[in-house]
Amino acid sequence: MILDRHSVATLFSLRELSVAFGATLRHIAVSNVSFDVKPGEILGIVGESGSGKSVTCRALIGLLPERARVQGEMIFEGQRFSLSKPRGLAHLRGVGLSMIFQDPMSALDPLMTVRRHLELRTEDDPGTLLRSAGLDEHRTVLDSYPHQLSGGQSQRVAIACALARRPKLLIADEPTTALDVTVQAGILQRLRQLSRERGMAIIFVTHDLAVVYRLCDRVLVMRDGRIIEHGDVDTVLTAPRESYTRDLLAAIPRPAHRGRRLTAAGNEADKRTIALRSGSIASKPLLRFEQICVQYKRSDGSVLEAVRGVSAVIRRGEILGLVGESGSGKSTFAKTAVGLTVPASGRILLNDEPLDWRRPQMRWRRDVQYIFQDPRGALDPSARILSQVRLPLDVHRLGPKAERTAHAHRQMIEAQLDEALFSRKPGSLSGGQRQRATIARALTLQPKVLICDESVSALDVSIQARILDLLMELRERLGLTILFISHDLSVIRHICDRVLVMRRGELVEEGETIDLFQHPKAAYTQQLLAALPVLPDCIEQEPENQRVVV
Amino acid sequence: MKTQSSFPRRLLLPILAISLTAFHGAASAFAHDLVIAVQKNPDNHDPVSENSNPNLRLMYSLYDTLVSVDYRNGGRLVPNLATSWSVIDPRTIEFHLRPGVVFHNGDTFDARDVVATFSPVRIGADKSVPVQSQPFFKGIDRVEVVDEMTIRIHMKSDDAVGIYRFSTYPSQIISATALEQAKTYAEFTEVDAGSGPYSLVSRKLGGDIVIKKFDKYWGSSKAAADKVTFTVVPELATRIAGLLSGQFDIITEVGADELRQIEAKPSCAIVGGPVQSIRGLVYDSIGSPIADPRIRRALNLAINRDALVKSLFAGRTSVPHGWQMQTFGDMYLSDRPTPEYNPKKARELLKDAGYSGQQIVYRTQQGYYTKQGDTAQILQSMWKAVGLNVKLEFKENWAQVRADTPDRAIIDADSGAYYPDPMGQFWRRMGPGEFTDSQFFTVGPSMLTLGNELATSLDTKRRRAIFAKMLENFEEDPHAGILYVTPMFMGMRKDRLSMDPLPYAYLDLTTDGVTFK
Amino acid sequence: MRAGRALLTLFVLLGFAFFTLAASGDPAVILLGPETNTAALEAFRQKWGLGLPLWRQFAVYVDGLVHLNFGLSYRTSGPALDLVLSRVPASLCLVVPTIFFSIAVGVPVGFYAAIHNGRMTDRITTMLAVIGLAVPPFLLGILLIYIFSIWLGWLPPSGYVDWRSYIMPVGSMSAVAAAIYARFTRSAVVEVMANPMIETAKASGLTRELIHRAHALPNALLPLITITALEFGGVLTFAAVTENVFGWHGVGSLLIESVAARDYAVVETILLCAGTTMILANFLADLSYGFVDPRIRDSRRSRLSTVTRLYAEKSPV
Repeated sequence: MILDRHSVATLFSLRELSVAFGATLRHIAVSNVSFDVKPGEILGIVGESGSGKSVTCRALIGLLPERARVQGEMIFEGQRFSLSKPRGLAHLRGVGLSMIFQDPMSALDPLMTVRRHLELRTEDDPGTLLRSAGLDEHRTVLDSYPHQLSGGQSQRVAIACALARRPKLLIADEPTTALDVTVQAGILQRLRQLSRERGMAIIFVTHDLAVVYRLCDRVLVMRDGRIIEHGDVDTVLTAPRESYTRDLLAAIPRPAHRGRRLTAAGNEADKRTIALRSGSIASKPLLRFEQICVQYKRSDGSVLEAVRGVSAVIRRGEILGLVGESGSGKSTFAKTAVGLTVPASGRILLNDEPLDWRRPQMRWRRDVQYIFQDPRGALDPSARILSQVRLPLDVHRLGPKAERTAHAHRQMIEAQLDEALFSRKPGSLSGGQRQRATIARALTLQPKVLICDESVSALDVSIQARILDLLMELRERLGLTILFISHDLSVIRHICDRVLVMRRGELVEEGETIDLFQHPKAAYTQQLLAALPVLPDCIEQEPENQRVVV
Repeated sequence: MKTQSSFPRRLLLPILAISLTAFHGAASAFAHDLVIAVQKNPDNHDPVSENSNPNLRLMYSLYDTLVSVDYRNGGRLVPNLATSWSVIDPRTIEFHLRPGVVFHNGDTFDARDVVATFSPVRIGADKSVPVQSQPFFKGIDRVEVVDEMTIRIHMKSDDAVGIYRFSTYPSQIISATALEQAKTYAEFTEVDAGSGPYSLVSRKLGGDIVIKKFDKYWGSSKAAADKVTFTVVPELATRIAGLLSGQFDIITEVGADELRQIEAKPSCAIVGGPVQSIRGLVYDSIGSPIADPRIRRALNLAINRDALVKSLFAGRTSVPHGWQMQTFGDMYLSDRPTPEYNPKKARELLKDAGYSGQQIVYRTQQGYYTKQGDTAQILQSMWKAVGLNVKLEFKENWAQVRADTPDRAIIDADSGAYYPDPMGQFWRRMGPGEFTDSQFFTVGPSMLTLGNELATSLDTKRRRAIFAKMLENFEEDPHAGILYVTPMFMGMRKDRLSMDPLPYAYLDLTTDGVTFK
Repeated sequence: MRAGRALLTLFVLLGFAFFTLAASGDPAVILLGPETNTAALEAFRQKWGLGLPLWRQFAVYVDGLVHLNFGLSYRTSGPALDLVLSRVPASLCLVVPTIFFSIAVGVPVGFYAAIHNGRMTDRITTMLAVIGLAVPPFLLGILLIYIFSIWLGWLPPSGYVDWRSYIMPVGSMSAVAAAIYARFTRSAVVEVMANPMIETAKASGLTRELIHRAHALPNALLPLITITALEFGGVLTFAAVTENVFGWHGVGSLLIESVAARDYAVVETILLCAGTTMILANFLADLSYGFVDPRIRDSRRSRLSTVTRLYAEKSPV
C-alpha cells in the first residue's frame, strides 16, 4: 500500500524478478529483471527460446508451476505484490492483469460455446465484447464451439476472454506466432486499437522483431534470463547498442540482404560469396509436376480437394520457393513427389522419367529427399546421431560398412555439425542441431532434389539464419536443387530464385522472386505482402560499419 | 475444498445409524422357524432324479418310506407307511399299508401310490428319463395289489436285503395322483408328491427352499419347526459368520478346520460326526500301472489311517473295520480288524511286483469331500515313503476325474451304506455296476459266485461267512482302499436348539432330531 | 455394420464358451454325480442330445437361438432364459447401487486427488485406490463379514434380510469400482488441468472453484462415461464373486453354479445377456459422447448430412 512517488505515470513496475527451477534451483530462468509499464503503453519483449521472456510473463501473473522459485515484487497501480507468493496475485488476474497465449486452438474449452466462455467471466454483453476483440461476425461465433472456429477467430475469442473484466494490463505471449501472416496483421492492428481506446497497457512477447516494430512503443531484449537492452523501438531496432541485438537483427532475412550470409560464422570474407543465381536460369527442368490433383476423403465421407491441378517445374540447381498460408495445400502438393500423398490425377517426372509411387523404386527414394518442420519427430530418440545419419546408406546397402560411416561423417561435417555431437542422442541436441542432423541424413544419399517443408519455421531467428546459410552453401557447393516450402515470405524472398504462391489448393502466382515481390500481380499476393511486418531499413548499414570498425 | 473435507462426516452418519440398530437375526425373530445355511440345494427334490447329499438332506422331511431304519436304536427296521410286513418267500414281501395317511397334495395314501412309486418310469425302464434308482430297484419284478391297503412286491430273484430296499433312498413313496397329473416326468419332479412331516412351500433353483410343518402329518414325530428355510450360502466363511452372528440356526458342510472356531462361541456347537459311509479310494485295475494286485495291496498297506483321522479330523471320526458299518447288526463282523498299516510289507510287495517307480496318477478334487485335497496330499507322502511314485492331479469335476484314459489309476470315492447290510455298501459298490461299467475293474468269477449268494441267501450265518470270505478275497486283490468313516459336521445355535442328528445324509428335522429351547 | 460386428462378437463368445465347457466336463457325469449308473447316464445323454458330435450340438443350439429359443436348463428342464431372468432383479439390486455409490465416492475422491496432484493428500488417496483395486473382492467380502457380522454383529452376512443386507455386498463391490473411478477421474482431471485452456482461464481471472466446476469436471466426464459403460458390462461377472460370498442369488452366482454343472444353455444365456448389456452400454456411451462433446456431435451431424445429401443427389428430382 505504499505509494511510490514516481508511480504517478507508471501503471506497473517489476522489481528484481528472479526465477529458478529444479530441485537445487540451479537452473536460473530469469535473474534480476526490472521494468516499468505506463498506462496505454505497448511494451515488446523479444528474445530467442530460453531467454526467459515467457517465464517473466508467467511470473507476473502467478502462473508458473509450483516447482518454480520466484523472487521479486511488482507494484501495480501503487500496490505492492510479492511475486514469491503467487496466490496473492489471484485476485488481480482478470481485472488487473490478463494474459493470452500462443496456441489459440487449445486455449478454449472444447465443450463450451463462445458465449459461455464469456459469460463465465463477465455479465457484459458478450457480443459487444467479441466486437471489441475484432470479431464482427459475432452472432454466429457466439454460439459456436471452439472447434468450429478458425485459428484467428479463436485467438480473438481468447482476447475477448482476457478483456472481459477490463484489465489494465494485457500480457500477450506470442499470440500471433501460430497464425497466418494476414490474420496476424489483423490481430496486431486490433491490439493497437484496444490499447488506444481503453488506455490498456500491453506486454507483447515475441521472437519476431518485425512484429515488435509494427506494434510496440518500447522494447526489451532478453537473453539468458536478463534484459540486455531496452529502449524505444525505433532506437533499439535502428541503432542497437548491444552486439547481441545487432546479430539478432542481422539474422533476420530482409530484402536488402537477399541471398547473403545471415550469420557472421565462418570466414568473414564469405559474407558475400553466396550469391543468388541470376533470375533467369536456363538449366534443364529436373522435377516436373503436371496437373497434380490431390483429394482427401473426410471422415464424414465428403471429398476435400486439397490440391487442384497444380503444375510446377523445378530446374536443376534452383531453389524454388513455395509459399502459402495454412491449408493452402503446399505440403500436400510437395509430398506427391516422394509418394507420401498419392495424387488423384497428374504426373510427376524426375529427369523426364515419370515417378509412379504406387510402384515405387528405391532409386527414386534416393533422388528425392524430404525434410520436415519438426526435427524432433523425424529422429529416433533412442539412437545416436551418427547411426541415424548412416541409416539411409544401410537401408540402401551402399558400400561397405566402414565406408558408410565415413560418408555419414563427411555429411555431418558438411552440415556443420560439431564432431563432438556425433555420438549423442537427439534428446541432448538443440533444435538447430537436430535440424542439421536431418539435413545431413537427407544428404547422405546424394539426392538430386531436396524438399524442405517449413524446415526453419520452428527455429529461433539466429538458428534459422544458420540453416538458411547452410542450405545456400550446399546448393552452391553440391549443385543441389531445393524445393523450399514456407509460410514466411521474408525467408522465401531471402533464398529462393523463383516463387510459387498457393492458396486453397490452387496456384495463385508464379514468378522470379524479385519480380514477384516488387510487382505482385495477384491480389492475394499483394495482400500477403501488405500484411508482412517489415523491419525499418535504416539500420541496414549499421552492422557492417560496426564490423569494419572492429 | 470445503465440501471435500466434510465428506467423511457425511459417511459417518449412516455408520452411526447402523451401529445404533443392533442386529438381531431376522429369521430367528419367530420362535419356531429355522434357517439352515447350506452349500448347495438340490436341483431336484424328486427322490429318484437325484442322488446327492443335498437331495437326501431334504428327503427325510418331505417323504416317507414304507419301513425305516432306526439308526438311533442299532439300525433295526421299524414301521413307517407300512404298519407291518411279512417276507412270504425269498422273492416276495407283503406290506400292510397305514390307513389315514394324507399326502401334501390332499390325496389319501393307498396301494395305488406304492404302484406309482415303483412304476417303470421311476425305476429306470424308460430310457428317455434319466433316474438314479436303477441299481436299487432293478430286481423288482412287479408290484401286486392285493387290496387297497395291501401290496406284494415280487423280486426277480431271491433278495437277501429285499426288505431294506424299501426302507431308504430311493424308495420314498410318492402320490400316484401327482404322477398322473404331470404331463411330463420333468413336470412331476417340480411338484411336492410326498407325505412327510414337512411340505414344500417354495423352491428356487440355486436359491432358497422353504418347507413348512405339515399339519396333517400322521406320525408321532411331528415337524419340530413351523417353517424351515434352506438358504444357499456357497462360502463356508459366510455360513459360519451367519451362524455366529445369529442369522442362521444350522449350517451344513462345516469343514474340519472350522470346528474349533464355532465351538469357541458359547452360543454355538458342532453336531454330527461319522456317518454311514466310508471315504476311500477306487483303483483302476485294468490296463493301468497298478494292474498288479501286489501294487494295490501295497497302496493300501502304506496308508496310516489313524494318522489321517488324527491330523485331519482331530480324532472326530474313526477307521472302519473293513467294508462294513456297526449298524449292520447281525451282519456286522465285529472281529475283523481295521485295515492294516504295514509299510515294510508294502515295500516287500512292491519289490515282488517288480515295481520300479512307474508314475501312478491319482486324480482328486479340492473339496468335493471334506478335506479331500489335504487327504490326497497326505496319502501321496505316505505312498512316497514306501517308494510309490504317485502323481496328484487336481480336477474340476467328476467327468474329468473319471475320464477313462490309460493313465487313470486312483480316484476318490465315498461308499455310503444305503442299507445296513453289505449289499447296501460293499457289494453295491464293489460288485458289478458303476465301476465295472466304467472299466475300473472286473469282478472275478469266484467273487461273483460269493456275491450272488450274499445277495440271495436268507441265512444270516451263511451270509456272515460269505461276507468274511469276500472281504478276505478283496484284501488279496483290492479294487479299492479304505481311508476312514466319512464325517459330516454341522454347526448349530445351541442357545436356540439341541440336535440329535442321524448318522446319515438325512437331516432329521422332526421332534426326534431337533428340540427348541 | 456396427450391429454385424456386435453379433459376430456374441457368436464368437458363445462358441468359445460352449466348446471350452464341453471340453472340460460331461454334463451328464457332473449332474448325476459320482455314484450314478451307466443307464442313467445314457438316458440323460439321450434326453439332451449329448450323443451328437459337439459341432452339431452347437449348431442345434445356434439354430434355436436364431428362433429366439435360448434352450432348456439341464437342471430344471425349464427354459434357460426364464431361469436367468428370474435372477436378474437380485443382481440389479446390487449392480445399480454399486454404480451409483462408486461414482458418488470415486469421482470426488479422484477429483480431490487430482487437484492436489503430487501432494500428500493425493498420494494417500491414490494409495487407497490402489489398495481398493489390489484387494480381491472375495477377500474384501470375507473381511467385511468378519468385521461387521461376527465382530460387531451389525450386519447380516448373507442373503437378503432387510435393507442392511445391501450394505456389505454393495460396499465391497463399490470399493473396487470406486477405486477404478477414482483412478480414472484423477488421471482425467490431471490431464485436463494440464491443458492450456486452464491456464487461459486462470489468466483471465476465473477462480479455482469455477475452473474446476466449469472446465475440469465436464472435460473429465468423457473418459468417465467410457468407464461406466465398461463397468456396467463387467459388473455382472464381477458380481459373481460377491454374490457367492454373500449368498446372494443373482445372475453371478447362477453363472458359477451353471458353469460348475455344465448347464450349457444357462451359461450361454447369461453370456448372451452380459455380452448384450456390454454392447448396449457401449452404444449408449457412444451416444452420450455426442451430448457431452460438441466435436463428436458435429462430426456425426455432418456424416448424417452427407448421407442425406447423397440420397438427395441420387433421387431423380
